Amino acid sequence: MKKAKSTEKHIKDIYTNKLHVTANSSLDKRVLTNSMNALEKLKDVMSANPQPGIWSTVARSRIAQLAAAAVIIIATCLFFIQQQQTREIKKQEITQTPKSPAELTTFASLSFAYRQGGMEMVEEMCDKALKMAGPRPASVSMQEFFEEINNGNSERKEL
Amino acid sequence: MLEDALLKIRFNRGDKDALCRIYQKYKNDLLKLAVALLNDTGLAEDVLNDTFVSFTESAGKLRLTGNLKSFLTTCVANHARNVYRQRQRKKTLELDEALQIKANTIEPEQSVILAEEYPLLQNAMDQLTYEQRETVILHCCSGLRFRQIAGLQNISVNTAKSRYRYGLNKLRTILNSELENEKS
Repeated sequence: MKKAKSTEKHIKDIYTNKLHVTANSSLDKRVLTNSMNALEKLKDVMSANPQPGIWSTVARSRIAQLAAAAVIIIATCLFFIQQQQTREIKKQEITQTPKSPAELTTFASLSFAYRQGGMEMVEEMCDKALKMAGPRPASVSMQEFFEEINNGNSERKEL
Repeated sequence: MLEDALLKIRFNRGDKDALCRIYQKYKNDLLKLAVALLNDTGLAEDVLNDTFVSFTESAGKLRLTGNLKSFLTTCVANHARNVYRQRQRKKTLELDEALQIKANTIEPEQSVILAEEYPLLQNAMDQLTYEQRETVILHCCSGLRFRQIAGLQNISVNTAKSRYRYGLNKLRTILNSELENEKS
């Protein structure tokens, strides 16, 4: 193995370090003249059939096609996920609709309403509860009103 | 690498400056490879010329991926093989003439070293089959991988590896026997 390595090294050394071959000016002139002539001929053909642009070259590459396909798939998935989430939120809103004035005025529903729309939403909830409870005389205080609807709620539970 | 990529794009669009730059950058390496493969400076110059003309004709069709130097090395190896086969068919050159390298391509200060070591190596190289010599030179001097050499010679990677190993063994035996002859 060592011998093979040393032979390899010896050959490499001779060809890379000891063999100095340089192209002279006449060779340069000859090669470049011939190449330029070939290029001129080719340019006439190329001008007849123009080269595709850089974007079409990029678009034709497999990586770009895969990336485009991946983006389309991800976008479609995201769209469907978002659609499903909106549907779930709507369902939750429907299921969370309170059935009685007592449920409307619980701490949980009021705090949920505050988180959703601030004080305006809380006021709206209270208005709804008042409407559902029906007309009351003006002398009834808020405390009496809450006691009444809470008693009604507990009676309903007992039943 | 980045420069090569830009040169390839410019060359594909028919840019003359890009072609000149590619030639200036790789001419000496490619000429050296052709000299090593054919052992004849005149033929090596022809190979370089033919390589660049055919390379120019590939403008617009050149693949944008891959190493430019490896591509040109492969082109030179293909042209050199064609020239070698033609030469074998015609047999117009004598072996002694083929061993000579023109003095104008070798720097004077290097010629003394070459007079001792280079002809010995070339003599040993000439005793290998062309395929073995090509494999040894391409892998050892041009740095081509066995996979690339296998593709170039249209053989399997294992065959390329065994050609390289047999070539090296043979070279070592020849060089050792030559050294022993000189000593005795």
